[in-house]
Amino acid sequence: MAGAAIQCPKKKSQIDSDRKNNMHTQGKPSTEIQRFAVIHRLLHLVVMVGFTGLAITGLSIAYPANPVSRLVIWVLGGAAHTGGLHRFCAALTYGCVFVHALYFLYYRLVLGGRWTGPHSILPAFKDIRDIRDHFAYFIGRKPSPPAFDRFTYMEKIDYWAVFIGMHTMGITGLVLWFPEAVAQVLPGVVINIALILHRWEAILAVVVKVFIHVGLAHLRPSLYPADMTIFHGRMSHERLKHEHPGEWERLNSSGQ
Amino acid sequence: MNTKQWLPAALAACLVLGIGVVLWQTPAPAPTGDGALVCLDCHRRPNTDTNEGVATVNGFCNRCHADSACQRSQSLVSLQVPADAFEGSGHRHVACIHCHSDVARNPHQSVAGAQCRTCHPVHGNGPIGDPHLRVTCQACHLASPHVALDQRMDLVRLTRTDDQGQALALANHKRADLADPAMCAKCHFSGNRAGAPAWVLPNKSFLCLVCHPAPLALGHWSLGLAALIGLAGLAALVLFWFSGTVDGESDGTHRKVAAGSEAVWNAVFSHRLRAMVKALLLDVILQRRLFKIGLQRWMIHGLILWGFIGRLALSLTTGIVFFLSPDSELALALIDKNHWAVALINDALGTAIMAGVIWAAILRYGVKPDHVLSQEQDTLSLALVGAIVFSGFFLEAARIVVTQVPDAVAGYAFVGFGLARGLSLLPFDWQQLQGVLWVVHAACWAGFVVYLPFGKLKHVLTTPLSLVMEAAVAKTAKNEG
Repeated sequence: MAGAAIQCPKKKSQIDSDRKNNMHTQGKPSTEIQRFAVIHRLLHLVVMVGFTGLAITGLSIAYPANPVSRLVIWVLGGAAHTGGLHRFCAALTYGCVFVHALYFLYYRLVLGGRWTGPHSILPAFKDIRDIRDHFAYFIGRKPSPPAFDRFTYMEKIDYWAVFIGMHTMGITGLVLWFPEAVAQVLPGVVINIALILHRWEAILAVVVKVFIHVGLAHLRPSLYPADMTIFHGRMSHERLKHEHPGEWERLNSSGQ
Repeated sequence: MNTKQWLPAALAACLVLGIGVVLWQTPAPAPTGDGALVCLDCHRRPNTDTNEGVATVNGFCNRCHADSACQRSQSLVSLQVPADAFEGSGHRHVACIHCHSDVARNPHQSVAGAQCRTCHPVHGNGPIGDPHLRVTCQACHLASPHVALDQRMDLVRLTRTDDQGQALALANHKRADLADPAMCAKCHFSGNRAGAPAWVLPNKSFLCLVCHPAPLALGHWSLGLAALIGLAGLAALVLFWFSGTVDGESDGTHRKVAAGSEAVWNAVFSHRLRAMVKALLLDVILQRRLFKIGLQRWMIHGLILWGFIGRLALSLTTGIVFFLSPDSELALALIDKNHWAVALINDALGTAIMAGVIWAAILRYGVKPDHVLSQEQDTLSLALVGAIVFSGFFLEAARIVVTQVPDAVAGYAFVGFGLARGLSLLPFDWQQLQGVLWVVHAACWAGFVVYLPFGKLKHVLTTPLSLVMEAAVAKTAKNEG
């Protein structure tokens, strides 16, 4: 499922046409490249809303005695409605995972894209070297950070935490949604296990989002208050050169 | 020892002795099931949320009701509940008084009957249609084949006597297998006493959502086929749009879709959104452009458009309210087409569409002003819309005749009720004809859906789209100019 978040490696002509079509830079020489296609921006937007809704309703159901939970449940009109909204958000979010997987198949089979390579979001040995070099840079052993390519190891962690977590939450969530159907096939203890996994995986997911994602996409001094690339899809050449020097090199050497 | 010291001790000793004697004299409570009743056998409230409480209650009821001699005192109808009544049923762990909530009292009798809706919500438009709101749960879900409309209660319910007038024992609790079509045929046959159409009509399709609350299902295969043809036509339309260049891209569908979606995204997430929403409200919903051309044309088109928009809004509201809170008063009112407000709104909106169609027809074929060019496509579109509403009103009238909705209730459907009065004078088998009218109405709508992407009705989709896109482009041009 790895390559689904990434795009077809761009040809020069396409980058030129991106420039031409860019409404904000029409008629001027472009200083931006297109990093995300509309489908990825749309999926991010829907998952953003769905995940937030899931976290708010889910935590309210998990800790109903908390005053904040009581407020949420009161506003939403009771535990049943909160649960209904939780399942609605779940369907919405998991729907995105499904569309994402379909896009991956389209990318692989129709566009003929590749799974691996420097543009891939699949973990690679380079990431381990990058982590080592990055920390060496932090403690002053190296003069510069490693030459990150299209996705840095941090972004990969951020992506895979969600992508794997979605399935864990989805499967355990389905067990809790349809316990009678599951108990026809599996022993009842599965439902108890699912409840425990669902709760702690949820807390893990929220913690990961709050610390890693907020740190990566909001609190970095160069990006504060938010990295808007996932919303408008564009990234300036300066930023690309600074944050993804590997990709910058690669695009330049391929003829730009 | 003086008196003050021994008197309390002696009194205490007497008390203890007295209690001992009383306890000695009182017999221990007899275990349930054998021997005489004691007060607490009846006068208590076992916790029916526990299996133990359920067993206690049901054991108590079965002291009499398991016995074949258990009868209703006047009519001598058996009230025996067979031992296997709930075997394999979801109700086997439910206390009798959970459903029969008004029997644990003196005199021991039930007025309300079993209360299903304490636990179960009503059906929406999913498994069965809303006409069944006037049918008791038991009429379908119990196996007894004797069902009739009870005019006094305005409910279709199980009868207490069979066709020969023999009293029926209904206490066996035997449930119907609703997968068996014969169970629908209890009521749905020609000449039934339940006030049901003779045919088992198919469920509504999601296509019906434009005017009626409907489930999100395909429904009958013919409606599914209509949806498929309509969708194929729409797909052809979209493919045609993408056959030229899209935003400068001329080759590769992927490139074109990417460029197109990029343009849409950039328009939606920009200041142009305001102009687009404004165009949607003023030009699409309020028909500003037609208003500028002429009041008459604006009103004709408005009557038809707003009639459909109103029906769509009501059906979507009904679906959402029913999904969120199926047991609320509002949801029950909205899914009930006999409810005065729903009937009034539906008939008023239908009348608006009908008026628009008739007015347009008079103008087009009678007055014939210069701008009107009568083409086959226009005639077909107008005829389809007219046929849908016309057949709809006749279907409603037939439904009122067949289901015998009381006049005080049905009167709010002012067109349907008036028609029903007229139809009831005609010597036809309306139980049969209601089915025919249903099929005609559904076929008209299926025809509309099939014709939608191919003829002039296409404007329903393309005109709003082009008006909104025009607004977005005009805004860009103004900013750059």
